[in-house]
Amino acid sequence: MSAYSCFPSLRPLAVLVCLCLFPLTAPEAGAQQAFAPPQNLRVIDTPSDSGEGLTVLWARAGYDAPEVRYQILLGDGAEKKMVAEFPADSHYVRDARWPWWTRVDRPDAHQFNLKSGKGLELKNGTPYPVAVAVVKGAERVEAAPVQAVPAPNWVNWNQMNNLLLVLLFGAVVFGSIRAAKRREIFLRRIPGLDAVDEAIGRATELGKPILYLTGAGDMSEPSTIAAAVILGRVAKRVAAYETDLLVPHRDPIVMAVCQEITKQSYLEAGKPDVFREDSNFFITTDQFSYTAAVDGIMLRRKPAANFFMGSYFAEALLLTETGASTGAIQIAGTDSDHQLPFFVTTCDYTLIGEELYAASAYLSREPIQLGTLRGQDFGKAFILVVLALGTLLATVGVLFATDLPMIVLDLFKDLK
Amino acid sequence: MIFLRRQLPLLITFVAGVVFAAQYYVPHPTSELMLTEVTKWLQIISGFALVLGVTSLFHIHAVKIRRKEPGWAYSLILYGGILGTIAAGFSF
Repeated sequence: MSAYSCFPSLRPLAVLVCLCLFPLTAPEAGAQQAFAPPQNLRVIDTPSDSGEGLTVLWARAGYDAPEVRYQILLGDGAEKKMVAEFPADSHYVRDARWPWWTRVDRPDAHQFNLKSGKGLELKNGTPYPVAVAVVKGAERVEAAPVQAVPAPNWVNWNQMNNLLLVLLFGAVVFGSIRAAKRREIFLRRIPGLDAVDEAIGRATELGKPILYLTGAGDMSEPSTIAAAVILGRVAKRVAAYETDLLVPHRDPIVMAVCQEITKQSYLEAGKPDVFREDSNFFITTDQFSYTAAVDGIMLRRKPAANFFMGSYFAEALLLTETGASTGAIQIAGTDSDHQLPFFVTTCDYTLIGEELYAASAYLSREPIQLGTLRGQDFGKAFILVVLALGTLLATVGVLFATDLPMIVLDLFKDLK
Repeated sequence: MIFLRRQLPLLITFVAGVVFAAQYYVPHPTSELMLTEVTKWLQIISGFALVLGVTSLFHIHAVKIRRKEPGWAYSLILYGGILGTIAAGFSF
């Protein structure tokens, strides 16, 4: 009784290991081969493509060397023409960068892809005879032509890893949302958001307004969207306390969106009569004219709390320093990492990068937002693990000259 | 009526989302053809949306000017700006 019959489940694993280790053993076996036509010539329709492509495969030979050349010949008889010529030690299956689950031959076999393009036209449904010749000095031998028909495919199997990860990530997010609906999900404390109530309370006590900036970005930037969402939460509390809210804008579209968000918040707080249309107002799109105008507002109106949410550039320090000089509580939140040091030194609280995006879920505690946030965190943790594991496996692959790590690495590649 | 106003748009959005996400994994020329066709439709719809938007803008501001609502002068400036831009567009 053989080992395979005792352990039938080991057979696929053994085949896989043999395939991956083959490059280490093949050169010696082929080294004794005489100059002969390419062996095991196969021509197939290129898998997972949009058609008009053929893949030519043939075995590695002992005479493969830079001075020997392979020629790919298309057609038959008088119509035969050479479409490619290259050194015999190139164009292997492993060079084609197809993942292991779509490879059509062993990694050390030769592969050449014929595709409609410059000077070559392949039509779907038409059979084409393809041959491979090998040239060494004055010697030239040619394998018998093989016919194949190009055809389009309905599924790109090269990208199945991508689909698998998308489905996995989607399942994790939906699972997290379900979990968030059933029980309380822990979110790390974000002091900057805890201080929002304190800042609004202080402004109410002092009878001073609250200044809220949404940053320099337009509505297509995630940080501006996050800033607008947080404005909704802040406006709701401001409405409840009937405190003044000032929201100067640099972008008219952002202003229109924020106006609606603020109006909705006042309605939700049951204070539509307190809402003022001009609490959101446009100043200018020019960076420093806007900064000068906002600095002027800070010095004249002396707001008790300043919020700097969204993306910022050179104006960041000019705004926050002026705000600090008026004695206001300052809360910043940005993903502009180049401005973070200035916010950290001049503001009382700073939401750093991702915290800005988490703020909406943190403030609302809605299960869908909390679950999505938790799902994204799992996704990020997964990416970090894959990065560490991938680095380790790629290093092992280079050190031990083996293709084995590619079994894992191919799963996380963006393959076309 | 609720189905037409709420569920049908949601259903169309969902189906379109799934179809175009799946399109990424389908290399067949039919899939490419569908994407090209939909992109053309998108351009046509955008054109109509622009016409609708500009008409609505003209209408709202015309009402503001006619009723002399607060800030009606800004509506007048907007009219001037839009008509000036259109005139400049045709002239140059």
